[in-house]
Amino acid sequence: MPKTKLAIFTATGCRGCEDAVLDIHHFVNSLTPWAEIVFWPYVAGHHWQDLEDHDQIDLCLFAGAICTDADRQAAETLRDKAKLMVACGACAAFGGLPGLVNLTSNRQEESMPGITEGDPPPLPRTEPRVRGLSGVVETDYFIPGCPPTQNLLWTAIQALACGGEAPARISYAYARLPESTSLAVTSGVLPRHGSTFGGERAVCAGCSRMKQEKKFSTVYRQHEIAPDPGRCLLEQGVICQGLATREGCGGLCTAVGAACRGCFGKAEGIYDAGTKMVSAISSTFDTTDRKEAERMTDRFVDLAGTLYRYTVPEQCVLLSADPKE
Amino acid sequence: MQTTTFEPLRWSEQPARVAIQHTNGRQEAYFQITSPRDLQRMCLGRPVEELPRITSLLSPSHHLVSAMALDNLVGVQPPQLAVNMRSGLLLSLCIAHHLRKLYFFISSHEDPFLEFHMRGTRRQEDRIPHHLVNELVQSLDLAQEAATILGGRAHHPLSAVAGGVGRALKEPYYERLTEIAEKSLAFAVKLAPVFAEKELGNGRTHDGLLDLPVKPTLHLSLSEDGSQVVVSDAEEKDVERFQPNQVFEKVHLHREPWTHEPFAYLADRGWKSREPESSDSLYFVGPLSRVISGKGMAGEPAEQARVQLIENPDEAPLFSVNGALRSLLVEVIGTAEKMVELYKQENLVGPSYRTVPSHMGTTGSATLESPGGLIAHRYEVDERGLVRKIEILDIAAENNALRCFIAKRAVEESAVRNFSHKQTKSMIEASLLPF
Repeated sequence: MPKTKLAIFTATGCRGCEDAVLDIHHFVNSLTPWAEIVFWPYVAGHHWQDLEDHDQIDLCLFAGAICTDADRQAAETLRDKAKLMVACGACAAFGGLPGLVNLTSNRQEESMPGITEGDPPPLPRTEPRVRGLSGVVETDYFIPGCPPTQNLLWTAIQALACGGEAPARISYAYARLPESTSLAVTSGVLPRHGSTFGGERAVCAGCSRMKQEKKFSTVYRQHEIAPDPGRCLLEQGVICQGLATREGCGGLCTAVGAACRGCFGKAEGIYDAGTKMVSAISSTFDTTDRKEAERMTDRFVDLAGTLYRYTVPEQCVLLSADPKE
Repeated sequence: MQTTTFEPLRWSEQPARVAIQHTNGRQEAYFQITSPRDLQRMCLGRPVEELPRITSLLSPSHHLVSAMALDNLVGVQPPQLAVNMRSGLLLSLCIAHHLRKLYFFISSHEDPFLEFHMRGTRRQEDRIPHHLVNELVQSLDLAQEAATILGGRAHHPLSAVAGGVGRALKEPYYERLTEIAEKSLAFAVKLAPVFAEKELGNGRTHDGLLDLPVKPTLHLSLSEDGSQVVVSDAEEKDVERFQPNQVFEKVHLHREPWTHEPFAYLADRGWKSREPESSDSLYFVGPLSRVISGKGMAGEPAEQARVQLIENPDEAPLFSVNGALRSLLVEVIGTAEKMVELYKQENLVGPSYRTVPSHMGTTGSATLESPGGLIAHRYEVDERGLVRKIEILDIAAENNALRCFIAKRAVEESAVRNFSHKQTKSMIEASLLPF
């Protein structure tokens, strides 16, 4: 049986996703019977020309956001070659942190002063708006997270690269993935097109903090409070996005006292995560007094940058559409 | 005019390429960072307390220096427990950073993903034993485990907050961290001589290219107590000392239209050119700089390795790619020694892990020796604590003249040796790796 040809590439990003693949080093080596890495410039030093040796590759893990026309071109080239294109990590899946620049005015080409003589080679053009992978090419699957957790990443790689033959994928698939995806993975068939290798529920479902009574009586910013280590952050007045965010991380951030910022994207069934959060918080205000409610809402700052921290380009309903559309 | 491009570059943390322009028999090499980081735009208007999480996009150490800048902004001193946990996190990040580079260097000879029996073209006796490579990866895993325990996550940590850390450690972690420190030190001491002999010793360098002397020879590092930035010359004489909060006045950035990464230089001496040979305002930062300055050595094994690196006349020039790789080995030992000292239960418990600030200031700054070199943050906020101005000096990345120079020398040397396109690319990548 021919081996699955695998490509891994990062556009504009921090390499955290590729490092996350490296961090499953021993497992990646155990892929050898099923898969062959044919294009991984960051680790294996492949050139773009190396892709020309292959008419087609089977699977491409694409990380990073689309910030320049070189990123766009890379996405298009790999899409043309790959049977399955996977957005790996929050930047590729939703635009990630680089997508925050879309909240500022339109990006213009910056003319940088310089004193170089001659005719230096030009840089790739900067895209007017940062996009996720699905904003520029058709994307088959999503592995969210900043970076993706190793278990999810490994499950996805096995499910997509090894067909029905890698048994180690099964336990995690049963435990965490949405039912339809886990059934597909454990049966050794491809999950539904567009599936996300993340949890089905919201982060709150996997968070170890106790939820008692959702009443919002005041708003604290992260530096203003040392929150009770065992109690729900939102109940303590800290804006935590767990209830609108897809589960799968196991509550990594909330476990160390940091509020969820939504790097797994919106949870299943949610239209817009920011709207969901505003609705959830305002409906639990512990007051009926208008002035008191206004005092509380005045304490919210930078809602767009907080509630769409990783998702401005692809999941913020008001901002994700291309201005031309 | 003809242009040859080497892209994408292996092991480069940012999208990068080397473009060589051939004009009238002359060639000029350009090391280009091809995508903007745009961090300022990401951060402007954000609540300042969120910056440790956002700036960790640059590297995990930026999370720590950002939290330190917040301490300064809100005017609080973190409790000793928090200081220790942050220091412990930095040590684990340093080990992981260096071991990853060493692993990458080993893998430059052979595809790390081939089946074992198909690997490599070198003779068995020339290689680092496979079990040692496996141990290296396991040691890297251990460093990342320590980073996860102390920072919440290894790649984008999130435990450091204004005034301390977000939570105390749970009891089982004390013993585990002690175990990790001891294993890390034992492995570092074992790895260094084998790596030096098999990978860097005579005849094992990339056709001598790693012995390539590199300039500049001025170097910048933070003093042992962190109270001063020290500028030293090649003879280890202090050229200048200044307060860490002056770093933005002392180091300026020069921009060129053909790369998104600026060129850092010493402001007093002025920008002259990106050619280190004709510019005295450029400098080294990072492991090589720290090691030759005698920083980071806690115990005897690391000090021995350091002295050996500096004094051994048979080895490659100190200011070389080879020297930079050796400095990673020395620092892995030195950092592991510090881990053994710090990762003890008495250092990881305390009555408080956080001082909650009572007010928000207007400006804050901090400087830190990250694994890659000196980094600094300075923030200015409005009355609501939203970021109005942010300055980040990532001197390790912005030491761009050095990287341009190394790429250029690698290209020149490859041309002399009549290397193929692929060989030239490999030479450029291997030369840039340790810096």
